[in-house]
Amino acid sequence: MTDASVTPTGAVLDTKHIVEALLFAADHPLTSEQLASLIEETTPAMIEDVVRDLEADYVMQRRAFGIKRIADGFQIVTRSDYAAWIERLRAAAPRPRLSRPALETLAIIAYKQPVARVELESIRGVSVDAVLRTLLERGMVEVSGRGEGLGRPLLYRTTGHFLEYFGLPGLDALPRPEELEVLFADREHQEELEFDSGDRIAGEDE
Amino acid sequence: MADVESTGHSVKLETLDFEGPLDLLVYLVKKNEVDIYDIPIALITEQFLEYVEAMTREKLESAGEFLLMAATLMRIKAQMLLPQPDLDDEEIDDPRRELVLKIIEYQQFKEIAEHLRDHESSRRLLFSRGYREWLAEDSARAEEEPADRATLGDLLRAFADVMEQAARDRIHHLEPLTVTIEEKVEFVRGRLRREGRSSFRELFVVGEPRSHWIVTFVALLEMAREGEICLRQAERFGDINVFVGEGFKK
Repeated sequence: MTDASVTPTGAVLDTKHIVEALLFAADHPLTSEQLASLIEETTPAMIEDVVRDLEADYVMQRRAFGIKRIADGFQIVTRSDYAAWIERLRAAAPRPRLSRPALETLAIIAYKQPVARVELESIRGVSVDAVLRTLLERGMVEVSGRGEGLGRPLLYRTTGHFLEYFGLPGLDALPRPEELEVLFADREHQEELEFDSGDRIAGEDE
Repeated sequence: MADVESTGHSVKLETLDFEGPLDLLVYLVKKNEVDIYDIPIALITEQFLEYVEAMTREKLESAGEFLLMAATLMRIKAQMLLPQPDLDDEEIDDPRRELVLKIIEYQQFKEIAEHLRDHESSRRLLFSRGYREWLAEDSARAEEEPADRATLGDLLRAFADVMEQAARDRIHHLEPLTVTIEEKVEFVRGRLRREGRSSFRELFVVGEPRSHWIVTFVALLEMAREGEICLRQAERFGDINVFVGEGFKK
């Protein structure tokens, strides 16, 4: 499907235009595998090239939209500069953002998945019952199975909807823990947690 | 490192809201600008207790986790005051160690949560085809009153209602069980596959012998235990609805 044949109506039937049509019409991100399976004689690698090509076209032509990599796939989205006008079109109240506890819990699940509730609670130091229910109901997390431990606890993992909601190409788009700034102290401290046991009381007496 | 003595006086905390005891500890460590690896435990404990005291006056219900942490802090403080057997021994376990690791880990996830918040904000500025539907779906999910999970008591009450109804309008005759739990499980699955949900009552087929209803009930209990279905009740003593659960087998 690489040689461009032109139909009587003037449509170009090459891979690039077909990918464009598919991305334009799709409600959800399409992966290169999905696209390749829909278009004859293409491979995911070819699709990746074509998508890059398309995005370059859009940038060059200063289109109001571009192709974003979300949830392992591609999606045509409007550029953020036009958000204000689209918001007017939408009229309805913006959807609620996730609460801070929900984000914290999601963050832990994203890194530790599959993870049991006890571990979430041990890290956050509070009960996560209600938060977990909200996350399940909003389709951000799902049960992936049962753990080995006592009572075979349910294990949770993040969903594709989670990636879509945050516009993440994949889980690896999140910073790795070692990349995080350790706010408190020097980094070398973290390697080996050695405490100065000599004058540990000295500094804290009022 | 900050001059700890000068920050030893009371801290205005009452107006701040914390997600939990670790959140409060992170705040105190940052606020006092102390070294996380050498936390002045007496100072932090004192400030922590001040907050807990202020908090318990207002919202007692969430105080349990804070009190537990307060107890931990006081235990560590006491341990630190005990004379150490041999200060040169590098294997001495600092009583603060476990707590410090927890604070650091929690702090990391707090940061990641901030990253997620940023992504959430920028994602909200991008619109794609179908975004209206997508938004509607998501807000519907977000706004949907998270109906309470039905308890065993609620279930038994609902089942008793069903059976009572059967008792009123039927002549009973004993007969061998001709239906298995597996069959009923499959029946419930079939219904949920088609409709996505079902009322509790609908699953008890009118005209079936009562023994079958008992099997249906056991099947529902089994499926609930396995997480295949989710039993919800919009209000106390209200009708119970059966939803596809997290472990539903398609």
